[in-house]
Amino acid sequence: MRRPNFFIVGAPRCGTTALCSYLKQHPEIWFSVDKEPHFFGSDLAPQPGTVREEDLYLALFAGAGERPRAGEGSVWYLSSRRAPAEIRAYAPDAKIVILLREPAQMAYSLYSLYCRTGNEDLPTFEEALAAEPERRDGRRLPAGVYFPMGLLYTDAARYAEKVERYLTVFGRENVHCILFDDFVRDTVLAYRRCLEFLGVDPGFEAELDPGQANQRIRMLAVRQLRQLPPELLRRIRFQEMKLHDGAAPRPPLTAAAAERLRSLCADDVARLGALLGRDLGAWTRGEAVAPEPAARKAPRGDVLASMRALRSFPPALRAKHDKVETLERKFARWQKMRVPELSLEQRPYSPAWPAWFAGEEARIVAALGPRAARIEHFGSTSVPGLSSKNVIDIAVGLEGPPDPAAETALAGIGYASYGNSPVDPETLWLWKFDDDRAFVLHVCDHRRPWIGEQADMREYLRAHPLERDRYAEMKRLLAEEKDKGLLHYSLRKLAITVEMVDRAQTWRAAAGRAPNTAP
Amino acid sequence: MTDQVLEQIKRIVVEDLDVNLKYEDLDDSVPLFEEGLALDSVILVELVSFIEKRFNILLRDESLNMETFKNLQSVARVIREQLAEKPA
Repeated sequence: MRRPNFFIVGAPRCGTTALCSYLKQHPEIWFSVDKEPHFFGSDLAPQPGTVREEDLYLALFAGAGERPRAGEGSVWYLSSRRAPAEIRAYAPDAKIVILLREPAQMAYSLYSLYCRTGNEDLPTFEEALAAEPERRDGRRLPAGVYFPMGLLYTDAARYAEKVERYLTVFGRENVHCILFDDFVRDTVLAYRRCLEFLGVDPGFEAELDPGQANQRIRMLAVRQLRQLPPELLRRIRFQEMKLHDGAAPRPPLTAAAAERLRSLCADDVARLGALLGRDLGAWTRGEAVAPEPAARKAPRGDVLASMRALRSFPPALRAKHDKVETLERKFARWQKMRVPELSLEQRPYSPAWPAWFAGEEARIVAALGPRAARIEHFGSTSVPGLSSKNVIDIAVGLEGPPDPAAETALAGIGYASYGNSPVDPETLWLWKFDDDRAFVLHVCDHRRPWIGEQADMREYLRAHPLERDRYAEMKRLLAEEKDKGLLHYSLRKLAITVEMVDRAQTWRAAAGRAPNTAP
Repeated sequence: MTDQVLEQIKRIVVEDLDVNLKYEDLDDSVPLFEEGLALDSVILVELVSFIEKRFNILLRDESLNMETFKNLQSVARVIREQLAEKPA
């Protein structure tokens, strides 16, 4: 039987239903007609629509056929402590989508929903918030309550620990977080990114007007529903009735209630921001989060010039370079890379740079603990006398290859992932922006050869002022060709680097020193 | 002339479906969705299943489209077509 391989896990009231109605239209996606079966999460109390029987659950995906993605959208999986591991055990290749919304808006929307469905009976949101401690102990529950956990609105609006759990279990590359603010502001873009994440055709144009989208998928729903076992149909019917029951108008969200919730969640919002590499400060003021800091594909620039640079790479150096990754492969990888948009200017050497490195090194060691085997400052800011931007490049060598736990630990001190490092395909590239400076981590197994090469080059340039000046002059000449684009620049600079590394290694060997493997 | 098929569909809607609609609500051309009878997908599946039992036919998947379920008249037309195809 076909098992699902992607899950929208929440949070409730954050746009999951709209996203589902867009995903259902995609020809490569099969989406469960019962949006929220809540099959996983054995620590969650069953709700009216919960499907715990495996045969019934799998019936929801029986029609998926050869579609590459089959999914469902149970919004309480996010709150469940057990769901991540249970999903992973059942569907090891699963992709996870998480939508998140400003806590007060989300909690109030949940309150409004439960007023309609009968899960809530307190007449104002303030009273409902005040009742949370009692409700946690099982008191003051409405007569019609069917999901008491849902009434702990403040719990539901705290996301960081839950998101972290999914990141740890599935790894960052398998978890896609969408902010409600981004989803609403540019639905086309958010939808396309989600499709890219799921590995299906991102060019598909779905109907994104909610009403029209429902029209478009209604008959699909009918065809799916009539294939289901009657028992399942009965449960879905019951769930639908609850959702569409009487809807008395709710008093609006008051400033006081919003303020209370926001202050209760402020610490969590800060932690979530660090986890996602996004500034969520706007949420604490009840505003929409600003769009993601522009990350763009490296502009291709003058492709012919880049090709010429590739072909004119000195053959002797090429042989050295290609051992780890061929130049062609690196060129192809660079073309697809996401590059952070920086507006930092070139500056003369500053003694602040090694001091910044030392401070950051301490933070990294504290975050990674014994996993940090080797940390090196490299690049222009590591050599006194070279000019550079305020960008501190740091090699972080781990015991073993980088994994989600390490990435999460570094996210905790403000680093956001930008894929693989330009220096090496098996090295992660993490950035932290801090006013007019940036820290760039290149995180890999400490045995990756490039770390020693960069350390050699640093030592060589520190010890040879004339070589350092020659290096600076080559970079200056290169900078004048910037109009040929970043790719061209990077390739030419790579040739210079490979040459310098070669000289550094010869120098070290002549001096009879051991290879630069450990600090 | 009373339309037998249409009458039977109306009776299914009023008597069999759990939708709280009265016979008087059922104009032949009232839309079945949002602005009309507001039937949801689950109810629609029940309607299809009751129709199939009552008329002893199987509605083809390709008949399950918005054109068929525009209103009660269009549903009746599709049923009549399938009944006509059925060998006596």
